[in-house]
Amino acid sequence: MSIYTILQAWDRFWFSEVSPLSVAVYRILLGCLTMAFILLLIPDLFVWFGSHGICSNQAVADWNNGHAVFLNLFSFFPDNDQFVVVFQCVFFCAALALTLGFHARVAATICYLCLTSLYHRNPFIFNAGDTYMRVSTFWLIFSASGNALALTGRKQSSNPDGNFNNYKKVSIWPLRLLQIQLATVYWHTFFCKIVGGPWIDGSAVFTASRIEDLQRLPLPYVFEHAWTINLLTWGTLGIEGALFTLIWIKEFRYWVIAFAVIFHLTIEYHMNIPLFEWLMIVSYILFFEPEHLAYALTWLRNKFTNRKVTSPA
Amino acid sequence: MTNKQLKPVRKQSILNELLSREEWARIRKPIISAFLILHCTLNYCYLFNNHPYINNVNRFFFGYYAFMGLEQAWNVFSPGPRTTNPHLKALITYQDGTTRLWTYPRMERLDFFTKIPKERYRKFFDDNAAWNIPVVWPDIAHYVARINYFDADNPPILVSLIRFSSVILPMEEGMHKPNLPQSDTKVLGVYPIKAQDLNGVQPK
Repeated sequence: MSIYTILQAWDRFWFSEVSPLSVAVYRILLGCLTMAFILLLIPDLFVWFGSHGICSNQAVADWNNGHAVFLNLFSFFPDNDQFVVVFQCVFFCAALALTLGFHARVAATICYLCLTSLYHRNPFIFNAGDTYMRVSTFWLIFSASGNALALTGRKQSSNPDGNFNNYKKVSIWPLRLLQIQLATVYWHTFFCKIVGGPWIDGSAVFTASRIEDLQRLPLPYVFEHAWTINLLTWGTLGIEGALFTLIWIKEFRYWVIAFAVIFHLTIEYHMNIPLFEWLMIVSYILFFEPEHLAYALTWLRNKFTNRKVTSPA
Repeated sequence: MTNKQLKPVRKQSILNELLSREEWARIRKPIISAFLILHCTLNYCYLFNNHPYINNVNRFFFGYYAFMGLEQAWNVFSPGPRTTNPHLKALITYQDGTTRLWTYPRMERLDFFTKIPKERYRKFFDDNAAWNIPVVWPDIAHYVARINYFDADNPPILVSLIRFSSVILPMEEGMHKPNLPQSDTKVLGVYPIKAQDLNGVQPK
């Protein structure tokens, strides 16, 4: 192997061109989940971010040792409840714009700024799903997600006949970053788990099932037998391992995704971690071949509208 | 002059102003590659911070990384799931000596739909505040005092935060048994409530 070969591989991996369709579908689904995130925050908005809320700016500054500077729009209007309302409205509009593809890059930037500001204002209420949403939105800023399935940006899309296979190709590196971000989630969680203890002896899922505040709906039989608990524990490791390795191999990709979707839906059924599982599931779109997505979208359009367009699969 | 005679004006981006198309084409890949290498390295160093050199990299870049909100950790349920079931209660003492017990919406007591938007209470109290974030305890006490302020002549003067918890039994002991009651107690703090803590709040 020569340096030239390595540089060529680097170039092919990061700088080849691809249809913007998969990142556009991801943008739409992420936008929907961002809107759900905003709506779920509304009932207790002032509890978490209000001037008389449960966590002051000072407490967060103390937690950060008082000397760090953060990207936080709330710093400009501290303890201002009217600003919190305006902020939330702007955030919702940006999430809607992201979903519709109305100036998608600007919308993604505003969504990222809002998510980061909320996180820096009160970091103690956000779970891994929120972190994933924040980081993904940052990578989405760099993508050409508005070049397909978008209200604006049609000039760039070169898709006059409504053929989903016909979008003008764009640089692949932002899509790669989003894919790597997803793989990183599973890579880190896998290596944090296999260091020993309950994930190796097969009992971790039992303990997780006994965390009362996480339970949503009961799973009969499964958590009452050692063999099912062992299977689920080691199966979790297997699926998480595959999601940063085998998912990159075309022949295994859709099988891995199918198992991962079942895995996340099972967690969604049993555990109350709103949006996290859905975020993970929609992220698998990033690994779909654009032509397969085009085929699926064409099928959906033919099924639900009168417009018939055949798409070469 | 009619609209038809006007020549279309090509939109100029800031990038177009600064660089010609050829110049950008020449430096595009090195710049993007540097961006990619930096961020992928930072992610790796932050997530696998297990060597003094890696720690040095983190210290150097942490300002940028934290400022941008890019810090991340995916160690949920690892190295093992949490082995306790906790909840927090607050005991409010009023000026006349009466007391009142308060607790936040506890997930295990909420119905299917209510617990979805209330999940952040679980994250805030059960995962964080009940254990390792003492900086928020005074704020919680003040908040509890404010929402339990009913009579201007009898304001809350003291809030005690108490954590209740129980250990989750390991699989070989706990199979087919219910969870233990959350009866282990620890007083996290007793916080006096001053008049200024209730400023701007009307009795409910």
